[in-house]
Amino acid sequence: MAAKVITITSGKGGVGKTTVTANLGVSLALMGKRVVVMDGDIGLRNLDVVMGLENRIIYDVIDVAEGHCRLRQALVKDKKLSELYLLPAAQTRERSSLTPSDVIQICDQLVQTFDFILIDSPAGIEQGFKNAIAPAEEVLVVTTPEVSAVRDADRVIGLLEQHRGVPARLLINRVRPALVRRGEMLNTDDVVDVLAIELLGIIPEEEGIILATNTGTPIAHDQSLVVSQAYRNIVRRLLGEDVPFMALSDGGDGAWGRLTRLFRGSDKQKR
Amino acid sequence: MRIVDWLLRRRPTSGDVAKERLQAILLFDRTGIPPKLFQVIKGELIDSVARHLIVDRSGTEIVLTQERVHGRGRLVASIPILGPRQGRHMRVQPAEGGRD
Repeated sequence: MAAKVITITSGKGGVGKTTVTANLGVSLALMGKRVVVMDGDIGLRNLDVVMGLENRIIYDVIDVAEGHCRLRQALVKDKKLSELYLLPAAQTRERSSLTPSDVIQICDQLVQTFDFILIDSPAGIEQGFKNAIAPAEEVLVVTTPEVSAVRDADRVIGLLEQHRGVPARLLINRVRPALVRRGEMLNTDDVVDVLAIELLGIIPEEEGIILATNTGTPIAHDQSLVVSQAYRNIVRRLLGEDVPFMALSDGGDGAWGRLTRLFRGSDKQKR
Repeated sequence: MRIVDWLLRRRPTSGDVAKERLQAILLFDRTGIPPKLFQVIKGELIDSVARHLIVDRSGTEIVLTQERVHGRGRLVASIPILGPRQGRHMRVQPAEGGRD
């Protein structure tokens, strides 16, 4: 069956698109899917860094588009998961070097050999974004529960509706349950209300992600964490399962939220 | 603010402020209508009806539904009417053909 092409975008920079792309890729591969993650940020690549594959890049997506190498040569196999591959961005070129039809053609070559193609869109709404959404069958819009991020997400959702009409679903990232409880952070219902698209997942803030990026090992490898459970739930929803949202208030509050804390709190989570 | 919050005299938290600001910002982003202008339009609409009919201002709800296409939307006004105003405003010429 042909791969599903999913683009991860946000509008605003720094909300976690690259981290989300890497961890969704890892979570899908841990469930036995064949995945390629594509870095759409030409000139400012960092999906390679988050995945710890920065020393293994020989060719990049521009090399493929310009015919300097075969696509297979540019794919970097993950260090730990043999079914997970990275197609790196070029670091020394600009976003105008790639066109939407380049990206579509590359995806066409990949669909038969993979189950999922995840495209990490750059921030913004210009050429890089347009390239990244061109082949998408579905778009995941990442936001954090902050006014500026939600505003930008709204703009992006509007653009997606106008220009491509592909279904968009929402990921609310970096949620801090203690701040939400105190009313000092927008709660997820507020965000979903104003953006009015389907919610795919809620990902808690997790300090361990900083360490994970330091070492180049995506956090989803540590399956005991609340944040990794969140990613697993998102993947199951992507695969069509109806998974209830976790009550994050019992999880970690930004620092090493282990799943055992959830079980101590209530056994609703066991389902 | 929700009724419960008003009853408990809860001070708005920064999260409440954020939600209000976000709604105002998105209203403007989506429709191009500045929030202050919307308040003016609401006031004028109610005043205009209130000149001829007794209205319940506190029960009035005027909503601007937004679409993501810039400038498009629908102004929906729900104004409780409590009765006609007495006096010369009601002496309107009857329609041709007699009573309604």
